[in-house]
Amino acid sequence: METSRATNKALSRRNLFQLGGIAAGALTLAGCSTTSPQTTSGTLQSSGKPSGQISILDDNTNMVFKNSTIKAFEQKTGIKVATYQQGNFNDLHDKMATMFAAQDSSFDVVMTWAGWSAEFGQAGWLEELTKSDVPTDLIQPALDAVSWRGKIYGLPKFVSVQTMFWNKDLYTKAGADPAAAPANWDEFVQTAKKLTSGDQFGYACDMGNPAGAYQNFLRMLLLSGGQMYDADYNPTFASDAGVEGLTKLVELLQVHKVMDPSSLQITNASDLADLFARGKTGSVFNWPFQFAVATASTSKLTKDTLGNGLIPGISVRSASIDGSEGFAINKYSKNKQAALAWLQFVTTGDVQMQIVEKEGWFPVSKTVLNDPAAIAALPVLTTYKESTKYVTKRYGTPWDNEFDLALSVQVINAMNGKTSPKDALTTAQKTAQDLVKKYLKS
Amino acid sequence: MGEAQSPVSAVSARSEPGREAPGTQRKHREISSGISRNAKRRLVAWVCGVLVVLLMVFFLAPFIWMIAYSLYPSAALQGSTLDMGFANITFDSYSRLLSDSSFLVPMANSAIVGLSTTIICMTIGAASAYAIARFKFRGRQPLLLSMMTVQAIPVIVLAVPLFILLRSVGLYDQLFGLIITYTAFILPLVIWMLVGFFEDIPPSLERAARIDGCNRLQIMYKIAFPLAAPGMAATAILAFITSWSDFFLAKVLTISTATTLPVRTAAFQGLFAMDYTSAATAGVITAVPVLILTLIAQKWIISGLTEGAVKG
Amino acid sequence: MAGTLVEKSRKRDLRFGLMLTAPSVIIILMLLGYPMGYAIFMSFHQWNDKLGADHQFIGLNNYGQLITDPAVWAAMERTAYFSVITVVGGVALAVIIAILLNRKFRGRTLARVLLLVPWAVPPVVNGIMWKLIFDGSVGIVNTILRSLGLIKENIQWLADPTAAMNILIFAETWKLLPFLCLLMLAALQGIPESIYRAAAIDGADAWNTFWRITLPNIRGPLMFALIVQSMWSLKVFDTIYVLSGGSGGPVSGTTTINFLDYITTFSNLDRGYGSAMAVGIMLLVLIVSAFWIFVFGGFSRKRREANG
Repeated sequence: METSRATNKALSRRNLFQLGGIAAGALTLAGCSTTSPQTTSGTLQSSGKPSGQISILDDNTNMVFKNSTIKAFEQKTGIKVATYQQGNFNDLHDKMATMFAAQDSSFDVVMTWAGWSAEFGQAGWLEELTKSDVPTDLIQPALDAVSWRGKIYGLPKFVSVQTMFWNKDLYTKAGADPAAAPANWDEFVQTAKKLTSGDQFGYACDMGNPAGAYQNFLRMLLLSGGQMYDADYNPTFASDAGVEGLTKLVELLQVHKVMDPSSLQITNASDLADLFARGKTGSVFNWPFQFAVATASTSKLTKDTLGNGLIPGISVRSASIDGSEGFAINKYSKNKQAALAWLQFVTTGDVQMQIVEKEGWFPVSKTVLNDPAAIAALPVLTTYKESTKYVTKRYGTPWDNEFDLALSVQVINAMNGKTSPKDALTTAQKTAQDLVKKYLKS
Repeated sequence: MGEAQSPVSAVSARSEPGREAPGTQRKHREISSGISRNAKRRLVAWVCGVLVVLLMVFFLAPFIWMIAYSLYPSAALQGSTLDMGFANITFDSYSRLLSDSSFLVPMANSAIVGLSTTIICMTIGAASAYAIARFKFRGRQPLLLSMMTVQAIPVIVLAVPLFILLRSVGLYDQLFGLIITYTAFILPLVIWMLVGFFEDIPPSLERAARIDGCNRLQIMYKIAFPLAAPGMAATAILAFITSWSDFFLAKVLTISTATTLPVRTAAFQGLFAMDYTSAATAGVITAVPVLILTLIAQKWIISGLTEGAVKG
Repeated sequence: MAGTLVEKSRKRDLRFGLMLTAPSVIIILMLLGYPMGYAIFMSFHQWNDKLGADHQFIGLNNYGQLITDPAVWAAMERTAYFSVITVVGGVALAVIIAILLNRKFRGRTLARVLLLVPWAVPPVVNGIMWKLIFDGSVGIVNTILRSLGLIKENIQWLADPTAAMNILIFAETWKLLPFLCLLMLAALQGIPESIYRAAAIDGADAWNTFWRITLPNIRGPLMFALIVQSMWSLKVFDTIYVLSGGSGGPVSGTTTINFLDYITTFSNLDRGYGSAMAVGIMLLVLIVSAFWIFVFGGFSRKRREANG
């Protein structure tokens, strides 16, 4: 056949070996020319008023910057914001890693959170701030989100801490008290049981991806009074507290059957928020934006039927996890002074007040948190103020990505009854020890 | 189907001759099964018809579901029962996206990048493929084979060096940077496919043209290209779809001015807000130009692939 | 024979051939030569961005780690499962569908046009679409199964590693079939009707006709399809990324070798090891392609001998 002959002409076995030779030759040649262009970058410690222009890379969580903050910033400082680019949070990491690895200075300011501050900070890609650059009234967990091992790599833009949200309608129907959050874990489980019937569940969470599994375990660990690491970053989560916390989480799904099974495949907080707003879930522990989603016009809930309170503790009264976001300065930025001016501007009262009012996030400064106007605009702030009395942690580390993946495999296996909570955590802790050794050997 | 009875009768008719040993009783079968053969043919046609319909459902259903998501509010589709009344249909998301410059610019970018990449790939690639197919110069076969190596490289590790390379020549976040990158990635596949098509053209036609006084270049674009036009159309569609829908490289090699449609579409997926309606709408809008193009090229693609049958 | 004339013409052929191939070769080398060299260079170094900017030369250590890394072998296992089904199953299915669509029936053209729809949907959208279909709480599949009374409780398709992998295979097959079908359809149309008629006179049944006539006659396109699909399957990325929320989960259930390379290079910022893995993937792709060429090369040689 014409067809087959032509094919064989083009691709015979002999040619296959020739191909290997050509490829190897070309690749060796190219291998010699590897250089990395060095960008000259400015320093933060220069005197004089910041000026010029900056470019900002942000995730798509906030709209307030684009809508009003940038204009106010330009008017006040005379610095021009040349580009304000928003990207999908999930895509930002790769984009930023590529730019940093190439020592690119396209963006002076980049968005950050606990995980990235540690990761990119350790990689030497974020500019370290001095204490004098940091406003004095910042809330500690917010500052933690931009720091790693005592070094501050940025300033927070908003605080995000999980609280408990519940559906008062479902509570009333189930015969539970809609006015108050459960005072402890046992009470929570009892209520959740009452709420569960048919395709309606008492509780749901988002543990479908590694970061989600980590968050849900961390919350249970803190509620049991445990710690992820000790002061020297030795992992301590496979403790009795950790095992108790994970056991209680597994029980929600396997024993009490009050956890929506779809919790294991929800990969982000927004899907969880939507699930709750659809009115088939009695309660969730979620970030502040849940308030806006649950009270939106498409939601089955309203301001009056949405309950909000502290997350019930197991061996402590309450605890929570942090997901605050911030801005950091690119190490290779050529205008770090102006970048710092933006970071500081975002933490000021007016901007923070807008973030509270228009976007429903918690403020980074104590001043705004104590402002009565803020609570009037965002009722869930009351709960947040109360929660500051209890432990709120995130433990952002440079090995987050590796660790979350390893931990999530163990946690999900425990959830599915394939391994015991104790074995799961012991295995994960071994991985954590190796990672700590790898990254903190110096 | 109008012939509801035929399958039943055909099944029984079919089982009889089907069990016979082939060859020995052929004659007997041909004589005795005049009616049942007719029924058998009808049964086969009926079964094939059903299969084709099932196939089309398989290919179309997911896409139709996406169209539904773009037309109905998410809440109507996510309850325990579907609420798909006509009254619920809204074209809001279409009018919103098609009047939003932050969506239209990436769309224009994608169109420019897709079309340019395709044109460059087709001109340069067709010339190369023609040379490889026609002139038996040394090294042509290893050349064709090394194209395969390029196809074998995982793009992931090339992202950072590509970024450095493009930035060093000022092509980072530029449409041309994307175009040239896609061209480099797609060219090997284009050449590989086109060689097959060109080898299928009878050399006698070209010899006649040479006698008529055409030089090599004229023969190429006056004789060979038109003859391989169907194959080239098929290849062009492959090139366009690949460059139009790329996500990973576009994400890393652009930041604002050269953002493409897939990157913009992915951005509807926020950490705290998943806009399924917009994502589905963007999906439909992204797919439509490709569909229109493939519909136009449909005739050529079928006959194009027939002519060359992609000889590899 | 006028040897000089032939030689002169061959020289001119060579010059013309080089002139026409040069632009392609230059573009490819220019764009991909440096990045590829850079990747190979990194693969011989300890190049983890989180461990500092001092990149030590460590020879073949990264490659050694590749062979002993259990994560790599687990990913290879998944890659094998995914690739065997999508390549062999996909191409086989494409042949069957092509035979089906090659029959004469009303609406054939329409069917062939609709066949192209999945090809037109970009991978990013593809992933979101399948997520909306198989979602455990709002997915249409569960809604349909529930309303048909086939299930009482929602099935969590994407929470189980095996189920998620099978959905990935389903979604990917949906997307790759149009191209493969077109290829096979075109190949079938290239077979002269006369051969079939001759076979029918010889009394060959459908089964024999398929194995003795159809298959040998689409050998070339079949090999092209198998090679190209092998390349695409071994390097699958986009659909996994969107379906699993960028994690290759659940429980690493959809982490194929190329996705593991992504996690290593981007999530873990271990670019040295990631580069070594990429080189490994490249070799793997070439070996698999070589395998198909060997299989088909042997096949056709026998035929040519038989034909004299």
